[in-house]
Amino acid sequence: MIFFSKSDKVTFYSILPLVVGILGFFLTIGLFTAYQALPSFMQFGSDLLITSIWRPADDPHLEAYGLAAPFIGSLYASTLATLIILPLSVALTFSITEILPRRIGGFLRVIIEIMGGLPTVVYGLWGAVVLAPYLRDYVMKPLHQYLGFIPIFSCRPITGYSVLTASLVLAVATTPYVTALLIEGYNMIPSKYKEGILCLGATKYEAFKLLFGLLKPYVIASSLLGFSRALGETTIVALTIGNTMRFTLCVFNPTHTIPSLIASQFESAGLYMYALPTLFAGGFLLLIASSVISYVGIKMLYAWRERVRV
Amino acid sequence: MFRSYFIRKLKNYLMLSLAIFVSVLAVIPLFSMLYMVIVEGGKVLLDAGLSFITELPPTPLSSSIGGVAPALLGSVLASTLAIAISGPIAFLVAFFVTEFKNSSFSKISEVVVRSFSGIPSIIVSMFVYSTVVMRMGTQSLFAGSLSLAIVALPYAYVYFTSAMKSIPESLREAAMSLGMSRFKALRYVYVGVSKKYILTGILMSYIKAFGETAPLLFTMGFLMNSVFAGFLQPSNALPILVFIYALSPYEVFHKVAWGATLLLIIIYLVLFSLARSLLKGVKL
Repeated sequence: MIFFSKSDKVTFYSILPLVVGILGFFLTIGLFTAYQALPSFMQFGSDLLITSIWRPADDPHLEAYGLAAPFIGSLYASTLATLIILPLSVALTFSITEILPRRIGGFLRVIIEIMGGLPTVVYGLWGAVVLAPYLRDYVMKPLHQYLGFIPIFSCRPITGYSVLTASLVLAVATTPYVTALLIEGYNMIPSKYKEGILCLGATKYEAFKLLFGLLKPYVIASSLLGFSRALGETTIVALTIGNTMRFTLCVFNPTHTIPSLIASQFESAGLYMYALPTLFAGGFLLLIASSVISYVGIKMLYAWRERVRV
Repeated sequence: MFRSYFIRKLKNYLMLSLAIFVSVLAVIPLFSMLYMVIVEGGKVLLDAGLSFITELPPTPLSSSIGGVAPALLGSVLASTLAIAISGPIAFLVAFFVTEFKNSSFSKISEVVVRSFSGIPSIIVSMFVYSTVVMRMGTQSLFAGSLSLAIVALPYAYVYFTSAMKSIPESLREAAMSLGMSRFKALRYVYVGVSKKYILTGILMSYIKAFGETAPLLFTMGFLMNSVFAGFLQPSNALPILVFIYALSPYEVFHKVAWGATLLLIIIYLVLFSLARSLLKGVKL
């Protein structure tokens, strides 16, 4: 380590405990969640991951829990959301950086920023009140009627609260975040490449396609970060996914995600012996999944930035 | 590659129009949301008038709409307290990481703190519930603020690091060449130069804390029968009020939820434009 003057040393060592403390604190949250989840893991073992059941009972022997449905539901809804986010944010990046005049592009950017900071409960409310009935009547019903032979469209849409609605709202809410990352990355590409390709007579689209190709690892990293965001989102999902404990791959069915299960069951879980530990077990799985994904995403972003700078 | 110029040109136009079309599609929800909230919430706010921000919430069967005073006050207090807790910590960590960037602690913190902004906030809520609420025996404004502080910390950190990075290298070198220690440079040079960025960071983290629902869900409580019960007593917040009332079966609660949403959006937009206008004047 390079060292500095004496007073710099003092500064370094006086802030160090705080930094270590914060790191330790974050670690504590993870360990604490694992510790709280332990009874449930011990009691139900692998059943926790392969069954889908929520049966609290006053007698602990009768209690049975399985988190397969919400766990798969979480992954499923976030994957769908990410698949919707990608085209939206790529199109926004293209429009803002290359197509639109500076002024209009700037305006669009402000709109995106506003959307990015909007409280998620507003998105949730909008999804539940406006989007769910609209999707049911104009999208789900026709899809079910004409394409019902495809398994993911095979179930009859009833309330509109469904995996599809939740993923769509999640996508709308997370797109600004991914777009901001993509624009940041796109602007980091050295301008000599852009000048080069334009000199060869490429059209705007061809130039963007080529430059965006350079961005590929960055796009993957941004999608991972968006995915991890969607995975942990509670409010939107709890208001739009229908909160039903049922394993489903059909996008018109209601189901649960881990956060929505926690939000809806946590208050009453304290009454039963294994309900709370099971919720903590779900939380722990989610925590592991999202922190690993975030970590990989951030590492990839940094690696790409380092490479492009040289 | 002998495709004709015409086909390439055509493809270009098609793709540009497609991109613009999809971009418009992506921002339509915002306008749909604003329209919905202004129409539904506007009715409620006009109906209730000023009393909407001074009165207590209604009972399920009451005919008057009442107000959201406990939630409004709770939100303001909890977010303020949260930023007061996490702001200084985030600032010191950001200073540490940008100034001593070769230290391995800095490298680890940078990645860990940033990854932490991706973790589900509901887990923070569970954590604070089990450690603070269980021990104190009641949900409280204090527990809610703590929960918000944990969630807001990584955000504040990200804003403060970019504030520190906005300081031109030349000023940094000038400060060092005068023989300043890093701490003195922070106090006399960096803070002055990046003042506006720091203020924006504080404001943006405040906005973030103000709009969060999940961290408050199990920690804040749901105070309805008085405006303020004390720091160690249950309180209320606008986002949880909207969340819980939207899921409830009563008509009058739905109305209050609409009004509260409009209020939330107004506060958000005001703070947001304040933050933007602060940044506009920045010239270095």
